[in-house]
Amino acid sequence: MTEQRTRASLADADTILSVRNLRTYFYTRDGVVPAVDDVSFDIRRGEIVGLVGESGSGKSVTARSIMRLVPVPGRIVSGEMIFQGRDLVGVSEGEMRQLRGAHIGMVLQEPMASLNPVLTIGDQVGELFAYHPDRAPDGSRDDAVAEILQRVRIPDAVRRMTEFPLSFSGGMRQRVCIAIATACRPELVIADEPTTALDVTIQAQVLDLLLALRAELGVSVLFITHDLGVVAEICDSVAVMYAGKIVEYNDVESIFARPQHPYTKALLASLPRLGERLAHLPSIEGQPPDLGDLPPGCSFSPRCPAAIDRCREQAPDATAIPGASGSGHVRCFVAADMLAAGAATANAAPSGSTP
Amino acid sequence: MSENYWSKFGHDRLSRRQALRAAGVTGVGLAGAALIGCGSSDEDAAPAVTQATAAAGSTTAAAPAPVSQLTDATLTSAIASDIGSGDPQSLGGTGGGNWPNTSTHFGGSGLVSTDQETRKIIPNVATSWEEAPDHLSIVFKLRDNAYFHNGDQLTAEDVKFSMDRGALGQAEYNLEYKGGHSSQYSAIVDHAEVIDDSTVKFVLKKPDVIFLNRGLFLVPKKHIESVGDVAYAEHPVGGGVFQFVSRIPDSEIVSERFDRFHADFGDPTGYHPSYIKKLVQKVIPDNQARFAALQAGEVDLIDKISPDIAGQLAKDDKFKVFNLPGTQPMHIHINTALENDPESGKPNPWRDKRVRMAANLAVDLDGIINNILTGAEALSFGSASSSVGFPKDLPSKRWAYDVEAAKKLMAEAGYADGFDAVLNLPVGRWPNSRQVSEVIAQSLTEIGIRTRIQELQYQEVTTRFKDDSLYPLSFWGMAGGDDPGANFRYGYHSAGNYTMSVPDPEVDALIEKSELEFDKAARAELLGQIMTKFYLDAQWIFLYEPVQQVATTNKWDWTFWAKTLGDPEYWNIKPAKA
Amino acid sequence: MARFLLMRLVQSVFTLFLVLAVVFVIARVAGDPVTLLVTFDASQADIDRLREELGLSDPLPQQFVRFMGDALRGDFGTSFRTNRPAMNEVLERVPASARLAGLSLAFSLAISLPLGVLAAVSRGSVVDLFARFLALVGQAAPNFWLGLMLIFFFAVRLGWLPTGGRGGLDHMVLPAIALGTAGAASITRLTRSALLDVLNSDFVVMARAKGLPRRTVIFKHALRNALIPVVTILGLRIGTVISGSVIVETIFAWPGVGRLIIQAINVSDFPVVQAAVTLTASAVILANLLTDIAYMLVDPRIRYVRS
Repeated sequence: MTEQRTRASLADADTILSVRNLRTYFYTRDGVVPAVDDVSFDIRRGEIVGLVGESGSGKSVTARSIMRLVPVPGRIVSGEMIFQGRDLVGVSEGEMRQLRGAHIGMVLQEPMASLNPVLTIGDQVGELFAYHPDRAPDGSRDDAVAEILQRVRIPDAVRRMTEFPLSFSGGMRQRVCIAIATACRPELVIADEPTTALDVTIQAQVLDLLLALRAELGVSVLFITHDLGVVAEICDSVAVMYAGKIVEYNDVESIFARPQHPYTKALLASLPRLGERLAHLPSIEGQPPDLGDLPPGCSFSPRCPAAIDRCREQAPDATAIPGASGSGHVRCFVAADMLAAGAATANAAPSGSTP
Repeated sequence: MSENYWSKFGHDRLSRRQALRAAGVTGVGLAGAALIGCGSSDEDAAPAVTQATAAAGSTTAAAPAPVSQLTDATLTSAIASDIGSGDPQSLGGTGGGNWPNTSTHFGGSGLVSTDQETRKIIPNVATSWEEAPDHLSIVFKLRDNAYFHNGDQLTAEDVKFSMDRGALGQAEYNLEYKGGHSSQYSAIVDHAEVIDDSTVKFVLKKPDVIFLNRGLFLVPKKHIESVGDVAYAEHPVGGGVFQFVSRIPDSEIVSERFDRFHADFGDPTGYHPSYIKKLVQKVIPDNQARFAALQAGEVDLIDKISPDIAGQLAKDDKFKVFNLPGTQPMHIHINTALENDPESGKPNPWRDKRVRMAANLAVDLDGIINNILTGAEALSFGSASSSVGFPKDLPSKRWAYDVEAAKKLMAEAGYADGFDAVLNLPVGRWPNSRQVSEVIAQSLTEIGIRTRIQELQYQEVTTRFKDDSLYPLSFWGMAGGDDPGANFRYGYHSAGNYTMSVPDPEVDALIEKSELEFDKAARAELLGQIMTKFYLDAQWIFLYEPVQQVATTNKWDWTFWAKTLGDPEYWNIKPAKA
Repeated sequence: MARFLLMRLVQSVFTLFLVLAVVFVIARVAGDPVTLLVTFDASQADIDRLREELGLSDPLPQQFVRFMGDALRGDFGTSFRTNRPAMNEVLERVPASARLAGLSLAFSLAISLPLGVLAAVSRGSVVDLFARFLALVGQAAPNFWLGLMLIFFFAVRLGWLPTGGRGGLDHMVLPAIALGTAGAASITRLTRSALLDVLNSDFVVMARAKGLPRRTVIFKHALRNALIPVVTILGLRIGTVISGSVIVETIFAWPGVGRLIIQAINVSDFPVVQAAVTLTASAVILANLLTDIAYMLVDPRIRYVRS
């Protein structure tokens, strides 16, 4: 299959991160697992990009790939990840270490497991400055840590920074994690399901915090979730992942208003109305595929109500969605055909609609 | 051939003995190293005893050696166990093993010695002695050139003090029991009297036919009274061939030649000043580790090695291996005291002599000795040690291995279908006892005595001997001693602490008679009768005497002289001539 | 936390009481100690008199109370073998045993911690395979065999070190290795697996995501957590080292408590056996108590959960 460069491969000046044709495979004893397969998307300054999909669809591996923290036996096979003019796929580990924490922060799903139980909160926040002196604030470390903790709305920060994670609740711990991720005022925060493990009310508080920090720090966020409701609330654009591939990528309004891919449609159809959020993704008929043993053709075809014969034989390439901003695209023969038909009908419709 | 205890009436010794070129282990209980010696006849010096032992002249092997043989050599030896205390009077029947100390610091300093061939008592520190006609007192004359290591002369006061302290329990700590060795005198000696500096008299409570065979360690009165018992035990002063220099518990004992030792080269006792100047005894408990220390050149001599290591060393001409025959004959004790099997309630089959005979015939002793043990073990014919020899004809009547005859006896006794038996084995008490017991159990099972082994703590065995509750078989050994009759009272007599046999009035009477028989020949005759009857009645399953093996590097020459010494004769070792 | 400590203290005292009770019972059940003290031909009157003197004719409960009272004062009677107070015999040998045990633990840690860490961080590498092989062999090899092999190789064959005996560091090297190898093996395995667990945990990913250097991630974040089970094992090792020293001290002729126990058992010197067993059991109990305390210091979670 020839690699297809999607539109807008030359990132515009506002783009913080531009991921192109990223492939991260796991080399297991049972064979090669393409956890991330030809993924492309962009994140602009101050933008919150949602990465949505079921468990095992490759969202977290995409996040880890950007951090260059892919667990063994996985590794980045090909692609590029241009961050501030540098391709993260090629930079040295030393350079990468300079970027992590300072320019790219990360928040994980389980606040209970994300903090080191034997170190104080203050230490875990403050140690960042020791390794990123250029991003360290003036003044004493303790003052800086207290300020950062206050920024994430942790009350009584001066006292609490001497405590161990054990005396913090889940929501409070996630605030600490966000504090760590944003302590050095990074350009990008990767939040890997940061609210999934939290109660609904706490979720809302954490989301508010993220939005506030974006406003305050101008930080971009890659927000990984399986919850379309959360996406609707905070994201600017959305990439929907299925079986290691981004099947549809577009701005949030377009996705919600005019979903192209049958999987996206199914996700939206199962979304509860009235803004009500569920702990788990509403079920779509059939099972998510085993990444180590993908069906031929389109991975979604066995579950796809719209699948045609071609879908079961050939994997669809990304097709640019007309009118979408950035690199909006969809991977579906049926959708592509319909888009082509639509474009033919609309003919001279103005390209580019505002998100 | 040379004579032995029984020679007077024409008995002889096992030929196996002649092949052995070493000394034996002295038993723990009775025979004392201090008494051991050999030499010329004591006829002139001790009229009372002489009369009792009209034996032929000794055939001592000790050749006179010139004084120039004294060397400045240091010998380092590895010994298996440390002394518990430097005080020779401080150990009892605990199996404590004081021997490294009693054979060096007190070796050769007893009142009398034993001729190694004739087993006759000969002079040593005492030049002569006289026993009263009623056998209730004995007077010793002391030599005027015996000294302790601190330079004090050994006088009658010291002899009396040694008896009072050892036998009568006059030390700070309870020597009477924990001091064990000399405590045997407490039932016999009434008191000791100093007649003059060189004459001492013991007044006895009752006649004691083996009085001279009992060991009394001579310790310095003035010195002990000034330093105290505890300090004395830490730094012993005796009159033996080596004087104590220093000791680090569990690690090493350093000794030096005692230059004022009373016996010179050629002395009838066989003792003489040590060829080596210095003796370092390192304590290395593990057999393999001693072997390694010898190979690494850290030590010149190792004791108590296992047969397999001895075999390896014997093949290597860099080393020499020596066998020291033991004096602790082993046997399987048979309980005939109980009328019925305590478990099944059936009559005790072991009361039938034919069963006991069959059991003796069933065991292939030669096979055990040659395959499990060193091959140098002497056969046992009872509680008397092979070093004393055996009554005439007894060895020729031995229960020779014969399974068919054994099965026939079993059938005759009405046990063609056999019966069950337990062999009680004190754990870890004697070398190779587990392997030997397994072979014996197998042999007995083969003739129908289905035997299983039950391991017991030594303490439990000693306790249960007292109430005859060890049934029916028990692996056991008994210190032989210098006098063959020394053990009969507690091993053969029905009133003995270590007898679980049905009373045999004939044997009891013979033992009682022998204890009052001061005529040596007549007594030897009695003892011969007892031993023969006990053996032929198959009262026990008779086994063998364990042998201790010792090895040196080939840089040393060593000619053994004594036959009943538990420890290497360090004073007889000298550097080999280049 | 204070209540937890108090509970553990009460438990320890109770354990010690049980040890003393067992020590008492074994000495009485094994037979009559008097039969060991007297010569073969002792009369019954002598035996009875000695039993009276030693208080062995009193009823057992009364003997037990007296034994406990004496034991609490460290008085286990007089050694049959040496006529010296049994506890003195034991205490005199404690420094030698402590030096050897200390060196062997130091050896265990010096080998196992670096090897375990190296194996975990380079999982699947040659170093890892080597570590796993070594751990397997080290745990399987009985210490008496290992001791003899060390003696024959390093002392006899190469002549680098003495075969045994009392002395300086050169005399301690081989016994410390023989005694410490099993510990080194088990701590290597444990360190490796504990560190692997921790290295996969979220907080280590977080630490790496902070841009911390590998060394900081491993030593500051991962190892401290991985050491919690290691500290527990270390406490248990102290018991194993003490029991192992019984054999190793005998093989290397090292004049310590372990060897004293063997020697005392061989000659049925019960006062010394009792004193030595009580002292070593106390040492193990104390070690376990200290382990729990160390555990609390290393892991703040325990402090909160148990308080």
